[in-house]
Amino acid sequence: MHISDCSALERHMELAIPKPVKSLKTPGSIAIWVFIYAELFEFGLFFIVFLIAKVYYPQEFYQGPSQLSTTTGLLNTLVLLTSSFFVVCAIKAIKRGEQKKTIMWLVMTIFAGLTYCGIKTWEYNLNENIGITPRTNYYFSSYYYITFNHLLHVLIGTCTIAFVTILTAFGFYTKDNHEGLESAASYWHMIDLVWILIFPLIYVLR
Amino acid sequence: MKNLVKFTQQLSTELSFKIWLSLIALTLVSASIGESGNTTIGTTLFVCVIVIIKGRWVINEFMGLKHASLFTQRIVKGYFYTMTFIVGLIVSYTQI
Repeated sequence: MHISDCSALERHMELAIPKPVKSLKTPGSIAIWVFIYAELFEFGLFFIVFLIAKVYYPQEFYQGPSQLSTTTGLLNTLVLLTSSFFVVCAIKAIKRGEQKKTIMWLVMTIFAGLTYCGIKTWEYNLNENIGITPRTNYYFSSYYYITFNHLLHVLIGTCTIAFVTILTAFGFYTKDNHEGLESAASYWHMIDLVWILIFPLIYVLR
Repeated sequence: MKNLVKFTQQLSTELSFKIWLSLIALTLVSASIGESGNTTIGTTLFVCVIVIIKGRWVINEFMGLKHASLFTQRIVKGYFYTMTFIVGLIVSYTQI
């Protein structure tokens, strides 16, 4: 066989063999994603109810945000974004097989979750001091309904992260097996994603 | 101390760190708009664009859905973009 025939054959073989396609893998288990879709749907309904009330009571919804503390809303946004970054670092650490670093990032996430709860409690106290309650008007009813619900999700998320931290400490998650940790991380990111919409809806837009 | 400096240097070169910094910057811009009390349709649309950018970064880079199945990506991104669009539309409507 001629040399040029060989190279032509090699080229033909290269074309014939399909290149390996990078597999698309959703982080976490299918169960957590069903749960995340349900949670997103729930918050979606809250947003629609909030917007319908805004159309019916524009004056209350216009004046509402100016009576709230934007500082506490901003601080909570910064804390949640930072906590999401900590979770990303934890996932990267476990993928490298660094158990201690994973635990460190997860503990920092728990601390951020608790800080969020503390700031939210402070915000509710500030509201109470100036006479704002869930019964003040439709804006504040919607505000308390959405933010308290979100606070409960942060508490659930913090407990979940605490649980996976304990499991990581016991060596349950490894470089090759960390689906549970990814599931908890996905849930935490969902909480952050929902807050990205809540913050402008309640504190910024009038 | 040396380890801490090395650790911080390593961290600052990572894409997720740069995204986190950008998210913080965009949040500060949104908050300053809220504090200014500016209620024009233009500012509403601008805030919605910020929300879309932030959401896109969180979904793609933090959640890691950039490499996830198309089904998951479509649901989460579709939900987020649709909700932001509805928020922008109705808030703008009340500002007319």
